[in-house]
Amino acid sequence: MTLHIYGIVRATHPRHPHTPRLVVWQDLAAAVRERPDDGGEPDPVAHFGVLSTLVADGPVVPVRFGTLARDVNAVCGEVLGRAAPRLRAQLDRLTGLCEIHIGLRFAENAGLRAVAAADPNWLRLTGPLELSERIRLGEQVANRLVDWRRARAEELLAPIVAQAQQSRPLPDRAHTEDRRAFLLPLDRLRTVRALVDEITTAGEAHAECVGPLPAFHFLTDTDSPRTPGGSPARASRWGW
Amino acid sequence: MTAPVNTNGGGLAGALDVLLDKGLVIDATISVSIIGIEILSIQARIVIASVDTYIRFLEAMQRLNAAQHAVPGQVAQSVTSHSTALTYGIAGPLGAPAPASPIAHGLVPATPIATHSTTVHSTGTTAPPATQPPADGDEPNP
Repeated sequence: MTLHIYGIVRATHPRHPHTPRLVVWQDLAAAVRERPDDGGEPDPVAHFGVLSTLVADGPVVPVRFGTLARDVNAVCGEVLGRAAPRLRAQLDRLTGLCEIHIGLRFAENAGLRAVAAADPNWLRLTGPLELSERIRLGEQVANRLVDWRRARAEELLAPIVAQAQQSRPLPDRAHTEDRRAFLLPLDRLRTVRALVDEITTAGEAHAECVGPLPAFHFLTDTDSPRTPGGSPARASRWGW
Repeated sequence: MTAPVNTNGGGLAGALDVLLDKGLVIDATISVSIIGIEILSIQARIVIASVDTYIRFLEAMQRLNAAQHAVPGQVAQSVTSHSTALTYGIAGPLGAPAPASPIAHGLVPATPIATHSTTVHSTGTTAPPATQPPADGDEPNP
């Protein structure tokens, strides 16, 4: 029976009716779900929803989405047994911690007004422009807009940064959106959510919080597979 | 117990682009594997959007500058004159035939696409060719 693996937890991880099955090996366990015989693609949103539920009760080392094991023996031998020391160290390090993503969306008009106000004499142009010049100048506007957005985000997120242990920027999706991942203690999650709501209430930006999640962006290098020479193995999308 | 995900499924769906290629990688063995999941890369869409976005930003900035520097009582006139200039770039001057569109012929700025727009990970193996739709008023591709 093929098993879809969510992540690694301690064998003593609390179990609830709707949490996935735990395959236990010594003091470690893998949270798994049986894959239907007809195969089919696993649902990524449901997958990360399960991990969010798991991390609320204890540390989770998330496994790359789409990881399958042939059977329980493969889970115990190839997953838990092979990397047991690393997994134990990670679980100890992540105890009581979770990852959250905070996104800030600024109004584009407000950002452009701020950029214009910061340097009123910039871009005073007369006459028609070639298309390539318009694109080039527009890119400069975009760059200034991003600089403004980052500076404002730094200021608005300062109270949240103070609650977190670490933070990482996430890839930009729009010039007026700022996204970051934070590693913070679980017991500060409510406080951080309240701070996020305050940002939205203040009106300068719309703030959203996704989490708790396992520490996807804060796994250390020791979690990565290594080549025989000891250098980090290239972690391709398919794990080799 | 701490409440689970604060946002609904839409929030998690929005985080997929940064979660799908993260997590512990189990060394590929016969009995453990990662199934390939075809997920459309969104890089191509961002490339297409950037050019229009840059032009829109420039036009908005010019309007703002015009409003800032306009003499009181003459704001409408200065904005109008700028509006005429703003229509020159892509669609050509009002009433004139539109010039051959560099966008329609595949002109893409060499460097700006990479700025702030291409940090999204490509998570799939199949990405559609980066075709760019002609801007309004442009002649279609031959």
